[in-house]
Amino acid sequence: MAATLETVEQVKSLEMEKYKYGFVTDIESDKAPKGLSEDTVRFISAKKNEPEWLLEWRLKAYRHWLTMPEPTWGKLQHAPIDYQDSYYYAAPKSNEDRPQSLDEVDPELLKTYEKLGIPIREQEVLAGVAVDYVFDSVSVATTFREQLKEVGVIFCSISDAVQEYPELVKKYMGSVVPYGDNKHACLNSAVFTDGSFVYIPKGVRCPMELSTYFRINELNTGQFERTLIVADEGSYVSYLEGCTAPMRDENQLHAAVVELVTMDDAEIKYSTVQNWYPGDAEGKGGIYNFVTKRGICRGKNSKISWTQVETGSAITWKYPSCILQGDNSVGEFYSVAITNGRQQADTGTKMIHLGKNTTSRIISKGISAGKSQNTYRGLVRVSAKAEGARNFTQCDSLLVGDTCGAHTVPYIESKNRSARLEHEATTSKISEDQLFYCRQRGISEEDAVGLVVNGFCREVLQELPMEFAVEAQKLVSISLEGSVG
Amino acid sequence: MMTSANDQDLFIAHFDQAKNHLPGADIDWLANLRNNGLSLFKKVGLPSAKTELWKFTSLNPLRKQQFLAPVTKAEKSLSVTDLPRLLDETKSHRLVFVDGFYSEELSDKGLPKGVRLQSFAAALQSEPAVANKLQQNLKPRDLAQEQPLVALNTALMTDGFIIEIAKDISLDKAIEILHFGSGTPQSSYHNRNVITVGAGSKATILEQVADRESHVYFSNSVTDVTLSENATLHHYRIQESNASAFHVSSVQADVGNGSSYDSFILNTGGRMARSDINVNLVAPNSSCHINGAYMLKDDQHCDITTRVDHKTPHTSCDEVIKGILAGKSRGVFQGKIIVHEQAQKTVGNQSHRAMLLSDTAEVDVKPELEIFADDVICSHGCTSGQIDEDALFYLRSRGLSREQAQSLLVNAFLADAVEALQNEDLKDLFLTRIASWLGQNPQ
Repeated sequence: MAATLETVEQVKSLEMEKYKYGFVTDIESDKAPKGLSEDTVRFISAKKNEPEWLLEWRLKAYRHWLTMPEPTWGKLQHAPIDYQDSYYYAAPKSNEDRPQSLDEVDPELLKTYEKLGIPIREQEVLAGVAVDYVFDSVSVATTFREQLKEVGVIFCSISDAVQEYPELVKKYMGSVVPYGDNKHACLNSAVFTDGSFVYIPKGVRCPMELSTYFRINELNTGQFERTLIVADEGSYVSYLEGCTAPMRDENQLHAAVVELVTMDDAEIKYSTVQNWYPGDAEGKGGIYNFVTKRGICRGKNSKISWTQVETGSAITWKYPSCILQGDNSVGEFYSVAITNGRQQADTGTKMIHLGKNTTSRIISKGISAGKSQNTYRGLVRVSAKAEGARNFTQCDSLLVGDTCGAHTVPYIESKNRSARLEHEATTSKISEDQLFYCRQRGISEEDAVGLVVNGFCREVLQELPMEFAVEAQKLVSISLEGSVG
Repeated sequence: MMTSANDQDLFIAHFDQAKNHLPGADIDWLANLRNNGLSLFKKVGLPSAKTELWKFTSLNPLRKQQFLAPVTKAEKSLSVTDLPRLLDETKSHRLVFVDGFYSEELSDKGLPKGVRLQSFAAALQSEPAVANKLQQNLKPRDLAQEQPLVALNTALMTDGFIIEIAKDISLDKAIEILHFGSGTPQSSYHNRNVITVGAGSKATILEQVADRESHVYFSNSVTDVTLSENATLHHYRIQESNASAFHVSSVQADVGNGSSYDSFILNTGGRMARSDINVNLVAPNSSCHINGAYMLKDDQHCDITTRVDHKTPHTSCDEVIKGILAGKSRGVFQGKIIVHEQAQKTVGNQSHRAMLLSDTAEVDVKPELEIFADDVICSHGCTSGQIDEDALFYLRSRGLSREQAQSLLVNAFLADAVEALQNEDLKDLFLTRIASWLGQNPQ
């Protein structure tokens, strides 16, 4: 059992692995008073100069939120959340007077980006990516906006969109994730501070990949992002979302909502790399990540594809879903979820087949190490009218060490005989044979494990856009560094 | 819609009506057990759609019925010739239960060696030593929340079979148990069965649920199975009652060192049939097979819910369930494999495949893996679909009619689950059942 012993030691060292991006930037911020009440909601709304209808919507959500029970079905354990112990609004001070170019951006901010290893100017040029930086809930710099405008693409913060395109926001916001959907989404609807808004007009293929970097910075600040992406007929967009967060002691609540809408022949590709602070060796202080992500393929032949690499957060509660309403529409979900230390992840997807000949594909790879718990929870539902629906699901789990858990909880409901559904799941540890094979060819154990894990995740990682794939691979290796050989 | 308080009332009233008639009324431990069961049932009530384990199976049709308390035996007279029989007398020894009560005159005489067969009621009336032994074999269950019907059974258990197989016995005859509905409408009964297999023994127990005519009744049975070392139990059940009957059954098997629990369930009858199978692999080298098939039509509902707990290293389980759904029927499979922290070297495989033959049938599946040990190989697979058009075309191109071809394909689909059976007689029996179902329900 020498291998097992080694593994245990490796896992121990993994737990001690320090969070690379743990630092705090000191910026004086404009905060709402601590706690949650109707006043908080009104404060946020007033701060953002919002129209009456949006305030009403927020208040409706808030009042509904008070009556909603906390979802308890996830395989997650955490102390009850004290909603009164958080700040619900924090904006960098320069908000009132928005910088028009990067030169005007607070140098503190730029330093933070540099620490993160994403020099802002280089990124603009290098990757051809327009970055809508979200720094503590308010977008402070939007790049490439003009260039996107030329082709008619709207890419801005949701606060700007409320001011500039109220009709679009009013029409689509809450249409995929209604405010009463679940407690976390409801909270978001009441207190969301910012996020991104994307509208791709008919027949436009977005000329670049759109990207938002989220970053929690203020202590005790819950992050309530709201993203809305609408792809009109025949359009295409690829959207990237990634996050890192500084080290802190108190648990932070993060309840984001993402809504995607695709019309006929449109396609949205949504990729996420999530690396929030996972907490220390005892699991203390990590981010609580409760995310509601849902897309609706409203039009014929439309497609929504979710790709996620989840390596961070103390708790991940996230089920990016697709409602396949249009005939021939396609939903995809590719996921790598890595947990170690005391992390808990309960993640998966829902594929709701409503239209004819709708297709969905789910590839989920879970890797658990340390004392973590990693759960895939998913639903595939075929309604009676979804003639010829097709689903393929594959959920694989890899266990590293004997103190972690890997769980699979799929729900499959079919009301149509012509629907073909396939589900398969496996759970195992890294094959000793594969490791031995690599080792006898002179590859160190660490590299061998890296190779095997990389191979295990490859199907998902290759779905990521190139710029992201590099970062994701790095994250995967950081997560496993020193853990397994 | 009735409230949940009202749902329970009927059964709580049953308890009051029946308590003086229930066997073993003067035994203290039993009275305690019954009271515990009742208070748990009172607390939780009948499962609703919010009960996770009953998410896909609604008890609403059951709630609408006014069942009678399990008090008196059926008065209708029956003779052995009225009863169906699976295996002939040379191959099985049979016990007969009519409307939940053991019938001595209809059962076979003369016991196979090394086996003690008794009815639950009789065991409680025999000397205290026998009754107390029974106490040990009634398994404590986690009755809270998810298993209120087990709690109800515990409160109301009336009769059932007790099968004790001594050490090192290899039975050459199967033990056949017929649960027969004589046609008493609105009857309800809560049978409690106990099977214990001694070290090194091998046995086959074959249960059949059938009835004489179409009538509504409710059977809520619980079976406690214990296998000591190196024992093998083949536990086969065939449920082919009329399409108005309600069946809920729960089996819990504890499997000892080197033992194997081999279960097969064939389900074609009933308005609603829910079968819970819980297996605890409590010692190394224990294993289980949970196989089954169901064939449903009209508005039948069948739910097979399994849970296998791997509690020690070197255990294995294998599950293959197949279903055919016609009409407006609904099939449910929920299978959970739990590998506990210390259960290294576990192998667990599970598969459920359903074939939908109509546009109005529905299948709901929830296979679950819950794994806390790393050195394991576990998998599950689920498919759902209709008859493969290519295969159909192939057969038709060789001159078979559409009906013949479909029948052949459905037959082959189901036979797969039956193939694993080791008993040739039973394999034939099940295959015949499948063929005759297909014959009666041409696709």
